[in-house]
Amino acid sequence: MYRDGFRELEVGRRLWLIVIVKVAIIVTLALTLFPNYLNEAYDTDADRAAHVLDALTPAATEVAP
Amino acid sequence: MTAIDPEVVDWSRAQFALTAMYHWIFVPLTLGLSFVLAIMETLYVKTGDERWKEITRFWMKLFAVNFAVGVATGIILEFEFGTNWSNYSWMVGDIFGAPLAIEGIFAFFIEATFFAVMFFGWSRVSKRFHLVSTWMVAIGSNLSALWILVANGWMQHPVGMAFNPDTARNEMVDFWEVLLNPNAVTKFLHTVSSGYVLAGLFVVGVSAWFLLKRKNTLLAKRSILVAGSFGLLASVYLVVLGDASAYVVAQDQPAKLAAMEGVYRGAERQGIVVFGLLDPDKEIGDGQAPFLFDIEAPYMLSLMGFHDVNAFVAGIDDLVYGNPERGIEGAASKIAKGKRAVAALAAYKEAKEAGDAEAAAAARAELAALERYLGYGYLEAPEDIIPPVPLTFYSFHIMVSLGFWFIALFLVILFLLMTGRDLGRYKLWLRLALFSIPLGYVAQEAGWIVAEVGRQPWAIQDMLPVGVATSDLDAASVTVTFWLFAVLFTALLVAEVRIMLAQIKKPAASGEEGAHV
Repeated sequence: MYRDGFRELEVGRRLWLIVIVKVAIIVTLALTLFPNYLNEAYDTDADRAAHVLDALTPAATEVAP
Repeated sequence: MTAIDPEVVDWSRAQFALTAMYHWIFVPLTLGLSFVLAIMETLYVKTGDERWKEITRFWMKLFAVNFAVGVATGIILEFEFGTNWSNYSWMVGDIFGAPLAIEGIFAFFIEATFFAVMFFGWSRVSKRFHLVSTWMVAIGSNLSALWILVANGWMQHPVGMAFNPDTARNEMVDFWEVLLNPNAVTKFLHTVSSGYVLAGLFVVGVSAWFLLKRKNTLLAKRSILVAGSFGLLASVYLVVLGDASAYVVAQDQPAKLAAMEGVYRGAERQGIVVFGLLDPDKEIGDGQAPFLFDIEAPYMLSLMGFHDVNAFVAGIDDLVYGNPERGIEGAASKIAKGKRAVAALAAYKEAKEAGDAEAAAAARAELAALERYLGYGYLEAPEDIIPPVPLTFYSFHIMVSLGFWFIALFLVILFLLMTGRDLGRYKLWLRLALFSIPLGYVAQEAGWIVAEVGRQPWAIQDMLPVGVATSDLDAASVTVTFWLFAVLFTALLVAEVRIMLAQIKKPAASGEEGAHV
């Protein structure tokens, strides 16, 4: 149904070209520019939890809202 | 641990706002137009009138353009959670996992299955199966929105969870409490209903353009009948729902309510500002009047917020400095308790590392007693609990004013149509309908600003301020990605508008002059 449908598109192939290019750009940008901060920096959940606990327990004067 | 650079926090917020607001340009039309299509196709199946089929297919093309351009723009948000908001993501992972997984399953199965039938299946499946598919797309799209808004509602009013100091995560203890969170329920109903209004405005506005051009008149009139009625019902429902939303905000987010209405000094029998110009020099606690000029509807805020015309509504000054007479705790006291909660969390961590079970138990008990103040421990000044008042106030009033304008517009257009008048002669109203399409988007974005700016400084209400939720990134990299996405999304928006206009300008089959509805 998809194959036949795409062949008979009335709205225009230009639209689907935009969709494909857009998704490719978004996924590429997301994968290259948006690494998972905690997964990149730490190997285990225990280390990630420790990092977040450190963030949650600073000296009060260090935290800017 | 060093404090996060405030510039990183601001750019991360700006980036998320940009992405979410662009994403939200595409979503509400999908939510609303899907139901308009389903209603039109139902009329086709019920009456057997082929012109209803042509009308349905015309709007389905525009639906396809909007859906295709908008799809996947929300993916970026999920990546931003992991990159820019890693502390926040870690803390909410257990809560958000279930609703977002359900959303993903719904989106995948419904979009992959029924969208294909709806778009490509006209000549391949029976009328009734096609109709069922169109309804399923509408219902499925809206149910997908439910799970996203359940997650958002939880951030505004975290319930059904327990904070685990061992893992630094909020763990879900009651799924139903999360799902039936009053904040989530009202947010879902309000959000999807606003999408229905936008769809009504879109269809009525485009149809008005056809009538101005004296083309596709049958399509235009029938479309106005369906979409105008749909939009009017949704608009009126939004007014009713506004009462429920105000009640929920008054209970859970009093600072947001005070900012929405510019209330600095609390009072009984508090009115609503119908129109107001805020004094730009107004400061919290200075005792000056907040407005240069305002027109008020008396009693209404007390009534809506607490279902009692005599109820006391707390103002910004009460919330910041406290009001013992009214039993309102000031922010300074909450910040002091919050810092004790943070200290208890630190003590618990140290005691565990040292293997001191007794000290750990004592620290955990202290933390449990003060947990609801935890987020305040990261704030410095009492005034920090108040969101930006002018942005919240004006966004709220723009949204509400436009909402009432849309009701008037739908009423007049439907009245003219249903009383048999030649709608094409009422050019002023047709032009107003056309120019109300962008106003619908303005109202959508204003509503988003009220919801998200109005809850500042919190990423999770009372629990986690945005300054602690952010990752310790390089500000320059966040700035670069902000502008990259600004360019990309703007290009997508331009593409959508151009393709939409091209489709609208194509002649439709059922456009005979002077055709009756």
